[in-house]
Amino acid sequence: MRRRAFVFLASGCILLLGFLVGISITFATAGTFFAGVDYTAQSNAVSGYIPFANPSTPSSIGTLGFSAEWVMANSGTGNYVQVGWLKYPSDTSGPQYFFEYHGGCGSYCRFRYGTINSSDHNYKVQVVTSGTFLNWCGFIDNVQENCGSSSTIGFSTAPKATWSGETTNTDAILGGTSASPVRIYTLTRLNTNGTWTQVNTNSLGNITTPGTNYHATSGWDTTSYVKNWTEIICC
Amino acid sequence: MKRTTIPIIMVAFVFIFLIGLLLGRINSTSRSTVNAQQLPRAPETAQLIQGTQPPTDLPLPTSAATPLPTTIVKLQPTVDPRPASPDAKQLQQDLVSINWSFEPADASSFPPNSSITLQQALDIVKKQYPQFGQANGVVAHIGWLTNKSNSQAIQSGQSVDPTFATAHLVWIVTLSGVQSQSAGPPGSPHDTSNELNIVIDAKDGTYLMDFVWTR
Repeated sequence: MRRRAFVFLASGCILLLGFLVGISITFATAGTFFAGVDYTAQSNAVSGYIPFANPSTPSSIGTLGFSAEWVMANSGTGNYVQVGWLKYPSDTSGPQYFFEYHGGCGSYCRFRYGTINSSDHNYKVQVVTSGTFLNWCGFIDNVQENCGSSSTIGFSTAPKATWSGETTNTDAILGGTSASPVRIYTLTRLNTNGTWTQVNTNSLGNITTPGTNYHATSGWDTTSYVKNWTEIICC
Repeated sequence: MKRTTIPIIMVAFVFIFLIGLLLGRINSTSRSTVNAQQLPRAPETAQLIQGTQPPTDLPLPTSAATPLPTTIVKLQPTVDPRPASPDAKQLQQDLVSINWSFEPADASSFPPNSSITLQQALDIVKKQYPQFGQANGVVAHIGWLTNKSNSQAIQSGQSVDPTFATAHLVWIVTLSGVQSQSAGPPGSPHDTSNELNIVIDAKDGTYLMDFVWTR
């Protein structure tokens, strides 16, 4: 009788052990994953400070895979211009600065400018007039790197400003920690009246205390995305 | 306990463990599915978006807030169908379309040792880019590359990256058939470029830039 009870109990324990192991197993998932915030308001520039990071981008994510953190002027309907850092699996020296826009050059262009050094950098996209033309330009530490015509990008004033991290596979990580996967601070945008405004990532409302740092840790607003970026599968 | 029953019990335990493992995986998968279903998902294929029908030269608006004329266009994920390697003229034309200029040069016209050779340029790219081995075509062009936006900005006293603000002698090595996926915001179509271009300084072989596009 006692032997049967032992066998029964042992079977239950083993079943439970198998169950727990089964739950804990995770597999790499390909897709597009984001963590960040956006702000819906007409803007002529979007800016933010992104700390240096050299996240893991293993070869298992494929040559198309990457990890990136960026600031963006966004049409809200598919067109955009962005600047930040981006790392492919082949970037053994670390991530590179990049500038990318959608519109013109077929569908999109991406330019990368070399490995970033290990400090925080300011990234900005801004409308710039050049002669009789209007361009969206990318700036790194207030140095203009490259521009795309606003006529091909599709907007001269951005309806939405976005600050985000992005990966193409759950095997790739972002630059922050598990609690704060993306750390972008001093999120600012330029109003159409020419005033720079800092954005509060908690309420996504304007604030009037310049110099305060906000960390984009909570993911997208409740209408779009949840906090835990590793569980998001979209696109 | 009989000796013959011990192996049977061991096998039974392994079997029970596997059942537990399977139940755990089912539980985990169903939770992920529920999470995904609860999320508002981005359109998976085509979507209607508002874009522009751009004029060739966009005049300055009277107010920065003036919206551009809009029309409805359809955006969907694009894969550049062109695996063919560009000739110098094609490269020149395509760069002009994004406000860069490229003036091809004759490598044989440079004094000896004043610039790196084609083979040296390819060796540098081969060393830095594992994608080199995946390319189904490799071409390289030497010439003077200028970013016209930066060129104009520097003349007006703005702070710009000087690298291409004036004509820079470069090798542009094009790896055809090497794919790259666009970044972009959630919900946007993630397009695929089929060409990787690496720009290196033709005088000393320094890496300067790489770019992808769908042209």
